[in-house]
Amino acid sequence: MKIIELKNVNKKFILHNQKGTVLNVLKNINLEIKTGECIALVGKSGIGKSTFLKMLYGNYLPSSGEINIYNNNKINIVNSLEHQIINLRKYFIGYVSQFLRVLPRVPTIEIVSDTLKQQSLFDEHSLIKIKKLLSELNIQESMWNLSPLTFSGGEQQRVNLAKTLIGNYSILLLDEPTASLDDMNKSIVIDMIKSKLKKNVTIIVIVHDNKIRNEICTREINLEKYIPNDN
Amino acid sequence: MNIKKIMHVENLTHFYGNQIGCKGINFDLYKGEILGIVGESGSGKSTLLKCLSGEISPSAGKINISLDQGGVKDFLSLPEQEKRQLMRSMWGIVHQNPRDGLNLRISAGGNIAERLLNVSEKNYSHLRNTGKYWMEKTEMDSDRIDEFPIGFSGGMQQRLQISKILSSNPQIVFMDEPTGGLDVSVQAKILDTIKSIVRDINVTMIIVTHDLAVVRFLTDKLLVMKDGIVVETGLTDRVLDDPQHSYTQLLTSSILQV
Repeated sequence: MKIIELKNVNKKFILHNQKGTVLNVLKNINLEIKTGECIALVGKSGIGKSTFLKMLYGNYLPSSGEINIYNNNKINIVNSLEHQIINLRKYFIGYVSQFLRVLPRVPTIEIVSDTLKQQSLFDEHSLIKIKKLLSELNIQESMWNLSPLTFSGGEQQRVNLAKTLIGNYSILLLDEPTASLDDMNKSIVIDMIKSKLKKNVTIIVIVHDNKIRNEICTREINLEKYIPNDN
Repeated sequence: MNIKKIMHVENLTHFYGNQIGCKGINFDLYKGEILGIVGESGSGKSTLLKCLSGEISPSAGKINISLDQGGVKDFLSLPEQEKRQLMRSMWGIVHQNPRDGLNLRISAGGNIAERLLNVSEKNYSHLRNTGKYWMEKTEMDSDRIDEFPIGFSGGMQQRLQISKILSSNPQIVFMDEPTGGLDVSVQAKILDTIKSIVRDINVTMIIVTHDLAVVRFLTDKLLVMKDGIVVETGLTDRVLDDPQHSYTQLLTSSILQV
């Protein structure tokens, strides 16, 4: 069953304050993604992998085309109302960015709890579940009540992952989820991604490591074929 | 899922003499949404907020409101008395300067009760409990309920003002630079408080600010204003991360990195 569909999607950036420079990034994307697939986005650096992911999340606006998400009904996120996209993000699509972005002075454990509160899933068992997840990701107990903003790069990335993986999403968009992790933490995160796939979650991931890609992904989408000719 | 449209604004325009305050503003606000209005000073954002909250009567345009009771109403053509009553009970306005929204000569609890009395709550112990409840919810020490807000810090006064407004369960809250006059160290905590309350009580809110960090953390959608008109609108993070209009691009690329 298809869960994501892109129809004639084009993306260009017009930099009005830099002499109106036009950057044509991606062109004529037509593809379908089925429920439970794990897609690796590949292509050289700067080709538009993060741009692609951000368009799926409604964070970047395609210059033309449709991006349809099949929930119970079809939602084209290119022209939906804001509250419809917010609702989709709350319950259906999770996104892990490359860098953690949180309010200062909010403790790690609250940041992770917040996802469950937003999904109205927070109950008396939640804290145990959150603590278990943080422990599995090797975030020490002494750090749970601290803001992650002072943590190391790898620790921040793991908090960023915890914040999304704790939720109950049908689609996960992961932008280099293992980039700043050591081998041990990498394999922990890979196992977590695998267990999401077992629950039939659809995953689209940017990952440079061939080994990881072969281990988790069911299909590759190479963005080279969507480079506009005029570039 | 069907979310109720709570406010519909059409071609809202206000002139100060020959000067444009704001012009041709259109948007819809749905229940539970938080709308941010950004722009530099003089862009018309405060004028727009004042037109929406009923503090000034716009020169032209339409505001339809649809509250929990009473169906859709044409706000601007309501009789003055009904407008006042609506603003007192269903609206909540949080001013930039808490001293504009508080009475410094009555106690913290009195400030909250004053607002509740407007929505016909008369029971003393209930008033007091509600006051304490909201002080705690905004992370204040509820033992200070009998103190006068004149002795509170700026951050505490702002928390009290927010308690006062939210205690009466308003359907739309208007905030004008809610963290504008506060130290950076207090700002983040207040933003976090507002954010968690908003999630708990599903309030609809319009926030005017020039601070893009505030809108990123607090709002769902944005209106970007320049010279009295809206130049760009959309999902907050979309507008900030992939701005389409040249002015929005200028605004988002002008933030200093710390």
